[in-house]
Amino acid sequence: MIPHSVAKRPIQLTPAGWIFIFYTIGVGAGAINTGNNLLYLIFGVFLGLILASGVLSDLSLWRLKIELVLPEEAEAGQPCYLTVRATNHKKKLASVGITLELKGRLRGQPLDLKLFIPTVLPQETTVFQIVFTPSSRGAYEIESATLNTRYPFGLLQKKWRSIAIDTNADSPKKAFLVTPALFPLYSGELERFGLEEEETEAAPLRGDGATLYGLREFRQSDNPKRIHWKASAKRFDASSDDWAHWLVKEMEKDQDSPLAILWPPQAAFEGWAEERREAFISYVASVIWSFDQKGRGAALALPKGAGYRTLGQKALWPFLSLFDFEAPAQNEVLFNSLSEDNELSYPVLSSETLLKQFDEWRKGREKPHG
Amino acid sequence: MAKAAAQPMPLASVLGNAVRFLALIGAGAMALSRECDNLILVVFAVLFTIGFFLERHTSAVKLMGLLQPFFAVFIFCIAIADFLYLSNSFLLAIAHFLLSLQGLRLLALQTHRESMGSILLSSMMLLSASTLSVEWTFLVMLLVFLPVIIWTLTVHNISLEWGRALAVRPETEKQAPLPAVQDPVWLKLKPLLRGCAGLAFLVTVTCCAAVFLAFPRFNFRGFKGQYLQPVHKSGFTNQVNLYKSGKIFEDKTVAMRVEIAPEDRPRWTGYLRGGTLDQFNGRIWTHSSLAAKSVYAQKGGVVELVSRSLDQKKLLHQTVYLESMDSPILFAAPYPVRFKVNRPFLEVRSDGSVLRGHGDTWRFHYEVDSVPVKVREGQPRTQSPSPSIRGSDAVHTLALQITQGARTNSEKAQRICDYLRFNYTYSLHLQASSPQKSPIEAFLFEHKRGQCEYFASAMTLLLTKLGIPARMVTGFLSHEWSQRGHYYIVRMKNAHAWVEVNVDKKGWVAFDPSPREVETGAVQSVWRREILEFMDHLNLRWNRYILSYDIERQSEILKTISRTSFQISANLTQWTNWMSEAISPFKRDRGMPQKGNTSKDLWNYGLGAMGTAFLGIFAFWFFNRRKSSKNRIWFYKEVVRYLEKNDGKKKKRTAQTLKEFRQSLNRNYEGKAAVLEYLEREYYRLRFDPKALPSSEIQRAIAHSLKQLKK
Repeated sequence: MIPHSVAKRPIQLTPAGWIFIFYTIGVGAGAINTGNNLLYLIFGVFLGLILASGVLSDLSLWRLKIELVLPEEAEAGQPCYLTVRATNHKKKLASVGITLELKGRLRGQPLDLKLFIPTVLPQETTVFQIVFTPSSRGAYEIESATLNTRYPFGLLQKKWRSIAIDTNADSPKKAFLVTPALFPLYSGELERFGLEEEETEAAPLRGDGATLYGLREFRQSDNPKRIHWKASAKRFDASSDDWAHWLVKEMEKDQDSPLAILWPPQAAFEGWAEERREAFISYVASVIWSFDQKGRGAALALPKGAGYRTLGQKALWPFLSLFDFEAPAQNEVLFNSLSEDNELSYPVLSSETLLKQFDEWRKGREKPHG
Repeated sequence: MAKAAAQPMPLASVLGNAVRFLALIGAGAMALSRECDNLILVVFAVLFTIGFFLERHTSAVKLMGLLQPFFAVFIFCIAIADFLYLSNSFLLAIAHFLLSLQGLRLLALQTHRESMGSILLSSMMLLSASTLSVEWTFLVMLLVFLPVIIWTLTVHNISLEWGRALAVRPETEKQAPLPAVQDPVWLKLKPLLRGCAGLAFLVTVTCCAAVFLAFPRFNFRGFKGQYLQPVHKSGFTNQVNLYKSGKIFEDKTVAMRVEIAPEDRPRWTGYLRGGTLDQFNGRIWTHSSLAAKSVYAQKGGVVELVSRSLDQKKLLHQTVYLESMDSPILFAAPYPVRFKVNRPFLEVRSDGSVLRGHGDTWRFHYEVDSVPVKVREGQPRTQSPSPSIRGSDAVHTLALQITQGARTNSEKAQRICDYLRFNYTYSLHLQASSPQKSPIEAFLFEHKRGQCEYFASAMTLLLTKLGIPARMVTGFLSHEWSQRGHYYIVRMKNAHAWVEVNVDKKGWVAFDPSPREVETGAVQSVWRREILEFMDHLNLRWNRYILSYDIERQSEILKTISRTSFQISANLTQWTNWMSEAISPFKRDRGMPQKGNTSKDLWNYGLGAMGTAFLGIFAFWFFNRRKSSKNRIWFYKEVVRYLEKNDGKKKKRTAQTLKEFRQSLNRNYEGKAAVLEYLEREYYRLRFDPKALPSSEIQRAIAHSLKQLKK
């Protein structure tokens, strides 16, 4: 993780470096031709500058550890933040003028990111953020992460490729999802799905839902899986071993059953323009998100025999992010890998209704305001 | 990736100032070479000042950026005209062009590319100064230039990389870069960059010294373009034009420095012989095409001019540091018999003048041994001939009158020398004479005043009219002794001409008819002379150790290193042998080491003790260093010891944590509770958090807290 070996940090000459090298060779040739010792002095100075460039750039990368923390997910059209934690393990020297280059792809299109790290002081950790706005949904896959520096003179470029990405996460990954862009849906639009905007919220009851209701002290009969570790740790007293201090989570009872949206067949999208397709994905995502915000939840469903295969909350977003209109077979594989067989006990919104409502929504958006 | 032109330019003002300062140093190096035209320097200064004030006016800078190519073409045309018609020197024309172009570029420094161009131009200016400069001030400028170029390149690179990173950020995140004085990142970065620049300076200077000392001096001279000849405004030529002479006598630049041993000073006549001129067309003296032979250097570069063996004690040894000249002639006290040069051969003419190869007019360092011969000067006489001689053969008549009664050629030559010396006046301010009239006749019969060339010409002409073979000798006459460096300073104004006469049986004998007052430099005030002497002494050292450093010196240094290393290795072997003998019980029983080696033994004992002590200190430092770098929680034991001592009874159990132990003591620590808690917190952080780093500030805080705890 910490670059030690010099051999692993290859040197590359920059265009300015090439010019400088040829310039130095020219001065050296002039010195040899004329025997002018002052030219030899300048020749020595130029060679010294090249040497110093190599030494300082290597010192800058030496014992510098970079960790990259990827976001769980990002939204198309919204700024996304990648956290970079740089730790300088050197005792005296600072690391200066380092550039982190991420080469990646979003939906097959190259998307390179860059971060300039001005300095990391010796024996210190500094946190930086790479900010970028993904233009479309998909999976942003990092192909290579390179740390390079042209410090101090920009003549040489030293590279270091070994960068830790999400080492602290449970399952290290090199990609994250960019979900479709979400649009606010107005009350009238939500009403069509049977969800009223002005719905009065009843007082929540304790139950086995997904929303946190509150915390209480641990009882003998409680499931240890429900222990809230963070809150318990805050109350931890080392002098006492009494486990009555543990806190457990209480959940709300789900009041409304979620809505299942039947995904249209592939034939429905034929002849659609790219922009319309993406708008449809965004529309579905926005509907699901609105339902989620209202506490009802939503699922995507595909018919299978008499029953359905559904995508739950966790599988929904990867499906919407990665769905490819041009590759139905791939979508099938994706759907199968994410979905589970389910006998739907809650209402199903037909794909025809969905497409109809999408067209209406789109017309409404195209109308001039006022 | 955004294009370079579209990139924002952070630290613009810092970079601009650094680039300008670098350009100023480059121009300073050129100015100190004292070859550049003052007008060009003034133009640069004006452009520099305008550029400095124009920086704040963006629209004006943009306009200048647009106009710059046209101005550059204009300057290029002027440079060509300068080369062809004005300075007539390629190197000088290049220097003038670089100065003007740099001044122009400083008017519009908008982008990184322009800044880099200006940095490159500054380095070219220094390079150009190196081809013009001969003085030690160049080293000063180089040592100033070096840290500034390091700083400028560093700032340029940081600014460029920063700008590139800013350019790829989304539009919503883009912000104009802050001015350097307000940017907290720059304020944090600046001292670090200074430190790194210092490190780079040390590396560069070391590398420069190593390259200078060790890079072999080939001096191929594969490309000898006539335009690359050294630059100088006045010079010593192979001919004397009586109409144009005189300018050289006002030139104070140093032509050469001649080192001799202080005990040889009484034998120094001041004359340094160059070449001879024996053909006169009434106005110009030239030398006839004399037969010249190449004498090849023997071992050590020694060129022997005389085949017979000479008494070494009678020879005057001189080390000459000759500056670049128009003529390839080598100068030496008359008459030189042996040269030591770093050239494969020298050309020796039948008149005794010695030359380097054709076109070799660079700075040159050589050693020469001469048999010192006194140049005959005049003695005052009471009789003087009438000066009212006129007519077409007036010179001949005058010669006859002067030498009336003299029998030998030597006597005649002495008479003429005396006559000229005591009846004519030495003067640099010549009166104009009609172009139809011979300058020598005008000198002899009308003005009766002139320079050494007139005196020498007149004497040569008078002797030739009498049928006595004579020739004019050109060279230098100097008595300006540098007490500090033990050498004679020979300036251009010390150029001199005298006469050699072929006297019966004695061969060529030198006569000097000029009543010239020899300057010794004593007329100047003491402090001024001291300063000038000191500066010139620095120049001599610069010339000796830097400019004249050649492959011979390199081989000498290599030999010295090899000799010293051999000596050290021999000493070490001796010491090792002695040690093995000393520690051998068998040999000790037999009474070794022997008597008479007491001082050597002491020395060896001392060396051994020093070596052991050094190893011990090194080992202590090394292991201590390793320990201290590993032990991040060094204060833990001290805190535990404090707690145990404070209670007096309880000892910490192995399984107990620090916190548990403190709580089990159940004591009130009054004002120290906060300190203890802080130390505990730091202990847990440094012990269990893998990302926690014991930064120097935290270490200091811990040490301070521990001190407070123990109070």
